[in-house]
Amino acid sequence: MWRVGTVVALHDETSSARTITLEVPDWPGHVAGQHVDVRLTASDGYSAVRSYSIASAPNPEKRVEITVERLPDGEVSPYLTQELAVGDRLELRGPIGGWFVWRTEQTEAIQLIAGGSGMVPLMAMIRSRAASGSTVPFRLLYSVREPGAILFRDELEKRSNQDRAVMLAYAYTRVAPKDWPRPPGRIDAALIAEATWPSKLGPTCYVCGPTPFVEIAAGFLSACGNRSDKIKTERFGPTGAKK
Amino acid sequence: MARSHGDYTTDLPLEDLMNKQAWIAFRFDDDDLAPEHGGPARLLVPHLYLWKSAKWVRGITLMHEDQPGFWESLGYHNYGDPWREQRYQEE
Amino acid sequence: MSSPMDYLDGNAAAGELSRLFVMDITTAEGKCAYCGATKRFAEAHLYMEGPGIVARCCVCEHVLLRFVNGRQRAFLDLRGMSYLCFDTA
Repeated sequence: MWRVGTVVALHDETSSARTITLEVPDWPGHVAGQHVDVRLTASDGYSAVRSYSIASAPNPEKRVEITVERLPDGEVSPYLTQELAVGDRLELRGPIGGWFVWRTEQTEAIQLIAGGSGMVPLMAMIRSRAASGSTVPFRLLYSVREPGAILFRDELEKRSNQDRAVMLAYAYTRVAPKDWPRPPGRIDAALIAEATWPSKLGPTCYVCGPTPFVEIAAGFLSACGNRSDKIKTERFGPTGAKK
Repeated sequence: MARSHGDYTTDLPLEDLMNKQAWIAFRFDDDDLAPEHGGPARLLVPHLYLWKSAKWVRGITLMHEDQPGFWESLGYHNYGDPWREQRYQEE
Repeated sequence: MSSPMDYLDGNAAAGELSRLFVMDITTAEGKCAYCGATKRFAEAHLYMEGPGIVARCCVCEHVLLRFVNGRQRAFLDLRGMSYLCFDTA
């Protein structure tokens, strides 16, 4: 059930997010969109389990990448993003999930909507498309607080501008770049209508991020005419107990 | 039995609610108790495990006989004294 | 009623429940025993901050499933669902 992975690389994506590359000798392979559960055990036996989406595309090497956002009062993320070192080992369970996945056999247009760190599983889908040679039309609406919070920024630039692999639109909720046409603010119906595939194309939509974001985005997609069975969602949130 | 919105229940002996051992909290820091902390009103029973401190409480039913509540009927200890580590039913 | 937007979804419980279910539960279709809505388990509202896992119907919020991981025993209550349907093809 629990496998052991060795950290072979670390890469800071932003000032608060780090990608951890793990080598997992008995990794059975995965599909874009799946996640792993990571378990940390302290010397007194206390253990904590957290779920992280796999950021890497399916690949023949036994490598799994997770991108972890450091939460200010998190119990696990500060350790993973600041203390874990190359050569350390991590216990993981997975791959988990068969609903919120994109498979290379899918032929329909794909609409991706990410809120903050919800970008991680969607990045696995973009990378999976590239690795498989699929030419299915992908479109991404990525909502972030401010430009410094964009995950995989350079790679997204390359994939959208050079490779034309994905149509990319950003939405900024707190601080927008200078001269940005749209003032900072939450996503709204107008943005969804203009920045996503028309529903009559019948796209499969993947929405990932914090729960309020997902509910709002999915609601707008629905209002635009996308059927509910074409809208797949994954909600991120803290799993520590709230007193 | 303390009963909450959303069908959560937890059972406690009446004696454990009396003599200033327990509270119905509805304000905190000069404000109405926030929903994420159990507002509008929650039960607070500091001497027992936290699941006995039912959030969003809407009523207390007095019963002649004990009945297990939401978690007590699924493996959690019926009383829940942290000093005696009564988290789960005897295993 | 539970705290607004304080839930995740069925995907979040899949790892814990994979100890009991051989097949992936997120794609399984469940029928709410209270309102009759049929949805994928991935769409259920998932509450994990308490003593156990509670899955609620995303339409009517009634409890679908409860799970407790004790020290030596695990408890599962599925009475909130009329059925869970797995694709075995």
